[in-house]
Order: sequence, then C-alpha cells, then structure tokens
Amino acid sequence: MDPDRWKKMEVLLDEALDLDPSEREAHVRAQAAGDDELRDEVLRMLAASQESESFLESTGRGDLENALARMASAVEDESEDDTMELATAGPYRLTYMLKSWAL
Amino acid sequence: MVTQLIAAHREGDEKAGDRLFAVVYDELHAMARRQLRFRKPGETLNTTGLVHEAYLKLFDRDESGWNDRVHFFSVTARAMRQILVDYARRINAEKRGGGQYHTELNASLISDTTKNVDILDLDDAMKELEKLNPRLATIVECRFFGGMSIEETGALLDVSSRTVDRDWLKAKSFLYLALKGDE
Repeated sequence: MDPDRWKKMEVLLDEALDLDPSEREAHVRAQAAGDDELRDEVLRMLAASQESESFLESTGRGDLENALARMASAVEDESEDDTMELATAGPYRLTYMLKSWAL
Repeated sequence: MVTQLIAAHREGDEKAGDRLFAVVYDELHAMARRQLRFRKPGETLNTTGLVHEAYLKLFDRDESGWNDRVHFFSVTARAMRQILVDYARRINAEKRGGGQYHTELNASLISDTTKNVDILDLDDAMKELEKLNPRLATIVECRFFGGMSIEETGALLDVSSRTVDRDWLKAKSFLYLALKGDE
C-alpha cells in the first residue's frame, strides 16, 4: 500500500472509530462513496479492530521473555561448553548450579 | 554512562543513540544467557522481567528524570525486538544447515490466548507499518516489546494518551490482518 492511500484510510478509520459502533459502517460507506477499494479497506480494518482486541495485548512480559530464553537456548546451548563439562564432571552429575554464582 | 547517552540521544545525537542501543542489547543478551545457564534442568525460566532488570541495572534513577526513564524503556523495547529477531534468524539459518533444532523453536512462540506469532513475520509486518506511519510501529515496539503503558508511550512520543490508544488499536488491526493473511 502506498503511504498516501494509507493516510486517506487512516483519516476515515479515525472518524469511524470516534462514532458509536452502530454508526461506523454507514459513515464509511457514505464517506467512501465512489471509492470501493477505500471503503472495503476501512471496513476490513474496522472488523479487525474488533477481532484483534487481545492481539499482542494479553501476553505480558513473561511470554516474551520465555520466547527470548527459548530462542537463546536453541542458539547457545550448543556453545555452552563449560556448562556441559561441569554437568558430567567425574562420577557425579551436576543437576543444577547455584543461582548465587550469577550474582 | 547510560545517563549521558540518554541525554545526548534525547538532544538528537544519533551516535549516542546507537551506543545506548548497543549497551542495552548486550545487557539483554547477557541476561538471557545467564538465565539459561543458572536454571535447573527442566525448570522454566525465571522471568522476572528482563526489561525491568536491564532498567535496574543500567539506569541511574537518582540522576535521571521520568522522561529519561521513558526514553530508556523505548530503547530497551527496540533492543528486545532486535535480539528476538536475531535469534530467530540464527535458529532458522542453523536449522537449514543441519536440521538439529526442533521445529517448535522455529515457531518463536509469542502467544496470546488465540494465536501464535512468528517473530520474523511480526517484524516484517512492523516494517511495512513503519513505512506507512512510523509512529504506529514505534507504539507497537513500546507496548508489546517494552511493556510500556499508554501513558509512558504518550510521553515518549509527546502525544496524548487518547492518541496512543487509538494508534495502538490501528496498529494492532493492521498487524492482525497482515499476519492473518500469512497463514
């Protein structure tokens, strides 16, 4: 989409979002008369704005950080040589390291 | 050092901005690794809030004001986005090379209740959005990757909470459609 087109869409979308939900569609249809593409795009965005309410919203930081940690582990577990060595040192198997080492 | 970099970046010094970004990026990276290294096997990661942790560690709360704090969080948010993207790219690259990683890691799970999002798809869609209206993309960065409130985001961008609220809604709608079309 080109930015001018988007700007036009955004203006109409803003107007519609300012209205009561029951009035939005009629407003878009009236304002976009003769420009079916604009009308359809704005109506699509309006519908999406209802559906996407929780999208990107309910995750909280925990999920994001878990994703980061998971990806970090996928990439970096292989290169954690010292951890691997410690984990199999002698006849003992190290099951975890004391967290205070990190502090 | 971070305090000076924030001040300089806020005055428009892009080099200071780049250095600030690098410092925060490295810190987030180190924290993710540290968490991995010191967890018990099978234990889910201790997610105490990396963004907040980076803030506590790097940010001088005595010398800086609220706007500096907001600025710092926005840089942290951008670093968080970038580090996730970099990891996802590496996972994909290594997977193509040797196929040693499980596919679910490739999914780069960032989920809400109904939908999982691949970080690389989200990043691409955000780049598209950035071309159309950069402020909307910044808002997504602050809100989603930085966990910033509407008020904090408004202060950063010098717009009202109402505007952030509206733009956030539009940005989510755009990304929702872009990612839905991907399936």
